Amino acid sequence: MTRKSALVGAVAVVLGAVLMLSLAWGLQHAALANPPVLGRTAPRLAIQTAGGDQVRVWELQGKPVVLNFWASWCGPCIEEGGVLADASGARPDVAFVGADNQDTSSGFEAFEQRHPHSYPAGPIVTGSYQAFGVGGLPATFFINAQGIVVASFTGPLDASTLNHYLGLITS
Amino acid sequence: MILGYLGAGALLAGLVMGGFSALLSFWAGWREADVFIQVGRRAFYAAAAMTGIAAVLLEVALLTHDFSLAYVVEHTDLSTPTPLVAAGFYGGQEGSLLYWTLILGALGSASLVASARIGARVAAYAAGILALILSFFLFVLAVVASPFDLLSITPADGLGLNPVLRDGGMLIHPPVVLAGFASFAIPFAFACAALLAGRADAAWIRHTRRFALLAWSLQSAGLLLGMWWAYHVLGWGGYWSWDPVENVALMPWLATTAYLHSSQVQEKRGRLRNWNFGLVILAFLLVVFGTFIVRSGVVPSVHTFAISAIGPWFFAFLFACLVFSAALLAFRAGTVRVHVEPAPAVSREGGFVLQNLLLIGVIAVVFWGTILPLVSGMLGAERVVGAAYYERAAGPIFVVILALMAVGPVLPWRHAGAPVLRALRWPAAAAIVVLAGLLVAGVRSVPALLAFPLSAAGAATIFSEYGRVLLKKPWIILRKRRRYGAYLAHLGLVVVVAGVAASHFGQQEKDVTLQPGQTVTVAGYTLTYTGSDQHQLQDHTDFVAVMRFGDRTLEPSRATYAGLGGQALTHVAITTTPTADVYVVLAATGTDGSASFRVFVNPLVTWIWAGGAVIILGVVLGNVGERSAVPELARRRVPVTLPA
Repeated sequence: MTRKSALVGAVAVVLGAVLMLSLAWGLQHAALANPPVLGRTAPRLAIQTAGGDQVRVWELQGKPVVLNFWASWCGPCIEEGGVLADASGARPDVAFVGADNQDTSSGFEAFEQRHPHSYPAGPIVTGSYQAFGVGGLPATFFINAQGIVVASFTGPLDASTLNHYLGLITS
Repeated sequence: MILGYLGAGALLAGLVMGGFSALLSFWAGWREADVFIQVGRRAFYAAAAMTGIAAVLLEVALLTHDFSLAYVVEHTDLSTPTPLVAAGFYGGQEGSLLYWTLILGALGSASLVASARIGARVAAYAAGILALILSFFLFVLAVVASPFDLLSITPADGLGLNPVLRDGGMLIHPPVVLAGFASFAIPFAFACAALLAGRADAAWIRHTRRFALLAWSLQSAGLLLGMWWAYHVLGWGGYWSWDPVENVALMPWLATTAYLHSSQVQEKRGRLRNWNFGLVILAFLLVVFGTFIVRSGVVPSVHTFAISAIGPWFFAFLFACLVFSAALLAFRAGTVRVHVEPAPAVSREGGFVLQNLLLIGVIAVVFWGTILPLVSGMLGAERVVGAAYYERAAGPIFVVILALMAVGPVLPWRHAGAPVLRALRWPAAAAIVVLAGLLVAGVRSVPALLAFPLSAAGAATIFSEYGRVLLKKPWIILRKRRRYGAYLAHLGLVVVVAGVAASHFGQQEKDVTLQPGQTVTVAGYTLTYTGSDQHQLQDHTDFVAVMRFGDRTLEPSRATYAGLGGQALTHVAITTTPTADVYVVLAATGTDGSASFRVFVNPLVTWIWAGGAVIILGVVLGNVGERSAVPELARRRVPVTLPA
């Protein structure tokens, strides 16, 4: 075996090993296979608003949180925007956070110009939607004052559904 | 219930026949025992037939609403329209695996018929490898994820098909993509068999050329149909989002694109033998990798299958394929290496090599972006990349490939001289004219200023090649239809690129809430909202907004499926003008009769679909009636003698 072929072989083995190890890790941490965040402490997640402020969900403990995953390209997210905006205005005792994911910065900025959020919203800068097991948008997680995920809902929220879940985290 | 037992029995019988075929084919190939080689091949046909019977039984169970089967309950209900009930066959994890296996069995059988003419040993090993792959799928179907699992209680109705899948696209996109995936196994099996048998000639390439082309065509059609479906169903105005599932379908297509070019170098010039083995193996490994990614849920995607236990099995299969392929290339490639002088850089073979390297570069970029969440997650900080990464990293490579498409077709084999420069005057002129036009029109985006002129140059090259031969010897087109069919496919591809570039760089959008009678104007297109209506249909309620666009009516709607917990789905309204699509999404409706819309104007999207049709047309016309050349020596039938 020449030195060149030994080197190629060694590189191939290392790359193959890294690939298989990362896939094996993925099997153990599959986002969709591992969605039961319900009843557990919410995974760490922070967003950055258009103004540059960072909002860290884990620092909001002591107050119930409505964490809404959305994207500028998501039609149903626009639909539920009014419902969430009304609720955030009516419920100052609850923190609303909008986590923009799988989005471009220009898409986010354009969205904020057309449909400005009335509560902190922006791209995720710490943590990920995978940690919450988000498989489709919009998805909303209801976190109680102790930081425990009490409920989740996938799809656009209407006012009565939102009120039902708000009741679960504020009671 | 009887269908469940019969189906499970057919899968088990298929598994036994497949395993028998694999063992016998390898043993008989090694001993060159012709009779047993034939028996092994026929056992493969039997396994394929059993898969066919299982498929028919599942389809019958679906169409007769046999709710004793868990699969039928989970993917259909009584309100689902019949065509979609039939399509439920591949609408879920287990059924789509059975479909994959069905296609593998059918195409595998087709490839094995007459395979003896490329050599008994190669044919036997190919049958063995195909039987091993088929057996793996049958094992998963029979033991791990069976579509014939029975419920202890038979419910009166099923759960129904996911609303996103209740669309005409469901009838065409998944079967084409899955068939494309399955067909990559054929060139892989024959390439590995040739390596195992130590055959350095291009017989395996000629024998599997049609299957490689079929895999490429199906994957091209599957990718384009997926884009078309996403564009028409998911209301975000786009068609490609670098989703992991899109990526894993793109990568084998890129590898096969490279192979279809580099295999010509081996056929014509005897070069790149090991490279071709590597490309075919890479394409199949990428298919297995993609299947694992899609079906195990390791990377989040908009394409989700219900999570089942097959992830670890596909992981093991990928590992086995990787080790087998690597060992084969490491220990056998040396035996087929032939020393030849390096090709001149400026020649057709040089162009193909450069194109291959560029395509491998794109695959590397896409592969890295797809597995980054896993590699980074394993190292402690999960990272995800978006469209910007892919566009920045792969965009420049695509630009060079596009330029190569303008130059490559005029490059001769061996050596390029002055005639090449003369042949390039038309593409160069087209590029300059388009560039000047764009600059005058005020376009300043560098990617747009590269994409459009280079697309024009690519098209001009093809037109000049056709023009040159049509003016002198038009019958050459028929005689060399493989070459001119490929040119047509090139033309289709540059049309697709122009459509992608125009819709990517020129898209305009506006969000608006309108009262009946109010209008909105986007990019010069004016729409008037005239009111809304509600329809109760078989399985859902449609809320329809009516818009006027000139003398056309657009009806974007939202469908709510009461039987599925109120899940809602947007139906986009699209109307096409000669230069753009007007694309309207109904975002929300108010109690006062108002409605909120997102209106997109997407330039030249129809070029993408038209270009796709031209690509497929080019492949079909280029290969209809083309007889694959088989060396005279190998054409002789091997006499079969019965053992005494």
